[in-house]
Amino acid sequence: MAVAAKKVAVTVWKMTLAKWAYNKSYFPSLGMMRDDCLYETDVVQEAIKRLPNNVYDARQFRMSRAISLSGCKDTLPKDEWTKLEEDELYLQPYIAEVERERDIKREWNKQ
Amino acid sequence: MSAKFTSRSVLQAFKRHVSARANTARQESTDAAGLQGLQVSKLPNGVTVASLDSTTSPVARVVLVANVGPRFEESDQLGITHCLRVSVDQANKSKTAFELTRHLTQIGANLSCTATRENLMYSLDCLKDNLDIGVSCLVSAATQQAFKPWEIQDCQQRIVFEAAVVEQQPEARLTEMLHQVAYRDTLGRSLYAPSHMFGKYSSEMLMEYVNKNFTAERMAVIGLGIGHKQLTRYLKTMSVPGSGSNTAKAAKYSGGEVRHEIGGDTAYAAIVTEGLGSQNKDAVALSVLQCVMGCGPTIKWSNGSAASKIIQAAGQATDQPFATSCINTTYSDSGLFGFYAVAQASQMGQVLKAVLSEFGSVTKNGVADQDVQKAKMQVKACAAMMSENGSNVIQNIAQQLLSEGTVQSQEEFFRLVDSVSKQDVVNVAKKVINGKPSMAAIGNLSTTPHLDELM
Repeated sequence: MAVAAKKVAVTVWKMTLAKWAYNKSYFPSLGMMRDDCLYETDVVQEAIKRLPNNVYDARQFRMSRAISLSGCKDTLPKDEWTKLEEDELYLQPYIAEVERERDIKREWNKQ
Repeated sequence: MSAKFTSRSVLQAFKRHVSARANTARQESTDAAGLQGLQVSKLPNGVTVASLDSTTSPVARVVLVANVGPRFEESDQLGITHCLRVSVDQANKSKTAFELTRHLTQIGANLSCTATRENLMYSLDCLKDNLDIGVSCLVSAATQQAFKPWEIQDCQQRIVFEAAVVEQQPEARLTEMLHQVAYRDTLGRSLYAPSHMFGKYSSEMLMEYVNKNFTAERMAVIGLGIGHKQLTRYLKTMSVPGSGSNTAKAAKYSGGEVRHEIGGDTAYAAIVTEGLGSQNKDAVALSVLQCVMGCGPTIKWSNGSAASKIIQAAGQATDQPFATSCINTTYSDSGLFGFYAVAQASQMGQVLKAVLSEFGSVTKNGVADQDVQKAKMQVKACAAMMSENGSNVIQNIAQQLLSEGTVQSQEEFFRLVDSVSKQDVVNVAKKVINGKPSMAAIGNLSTTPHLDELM
């Protein structure tokens, strides 16, 4: 019982810190998600190519809106900022798959 | 399933058990040549498994056949079997495309996918020692397709290429046109994707088609050069993508005419009537009739007039190059019987009329005894020579298992051929040749008559 309570306490503290750090970041104020901001390495570029059309279009929209906002040195109204609970790491499954495929290739080519 | 353990049912079960054991022992001890060593059973998931062991060759062949040809396509799914066929080497649920290719090259195996109008056959050839990896590759490619959207897009290029290759071959186009005009839907569906569907095959569409049609009772796995216990062991983890039963729509022959003018020097035409399905008792007599009419030259580069009645007839009508052969295509519940002719554009009318009159004379005047004897020998020789090749044997077993549920051995087939009498041939000729005709023609059709001008 004491151990369980301790676990929850750590999580709550971490969550609070995470929320504070997220809201202090620039990209949620432009309406972007974290996966929109990933640096486009080869792996990330391949994963983006595999996105379904609707997810890709939504990503493009968020990025163009953010670019035009930052061009005017403006941000979205506070109630339209992305919230931590709404942020979806949509690219991670595709990145994981691309990396897995690369690992398999590397293993095979080792011999 | 509840069983009443009365003494009677226990005794019957014991008798069945003993006789089954005796049968298996007898089969296993018979020489594996011919089909006597063929063992057929059903896996727990409902898929039929057959195996024919052979000790002479180090090569093993395994074929997974599914009764899923273009015949089962709906009108909004045209060419989906073509897409399925070219995506055999794409990523599946247990292996990426790279892994599948490397596994197969590592064991020196061949994996291919062949489509007939009724069946889709995934075949694997490999050495007997590598069967565990080989069969796992085969099963994953055939039953665990993942249809990743980006890989399906890459497949579209292959579909476009294959369709373009077919476009260049008038004979292939003629066969597709002939089936389309004879059957309209079901067996009339083309083996190749139509141009309006290029790029339109989506992952969901393919997945839905597979889940609807790849059901256990429509699938079978056949192994050649592999023991039955071994094959069943490799297939233990196989899962079937489809569920439920989907009865095939019966093929309805309609007949008609289609022509496609593309210019050039030659004309290609085929005229058929409805033939017989493979389960029809007269199907063997029809094969004999096909050889009576003539299946092309039997000596390479000869003009064949000694061997083939229709070549002889057409040769008297024209002195320019031509080729003609009797067609007898058999599907499980229907078939096409007739002939196909290629000739110079200006001679086509004469050639067609000559060959047609030869067919007509068979129904009016019958056939000669020695023609029937010659034809029977040709049918048996052709079947024997085809069975020299392991991949032909296994495809033959596969198609028979799916359409009939049993496999006919070569001895049985030869006995059936020998029992065909001259009267059988004449009767089947009258029945088939007097049916409603279908005609397809492509090429330079300036002198090719229409169907109503020929009949």
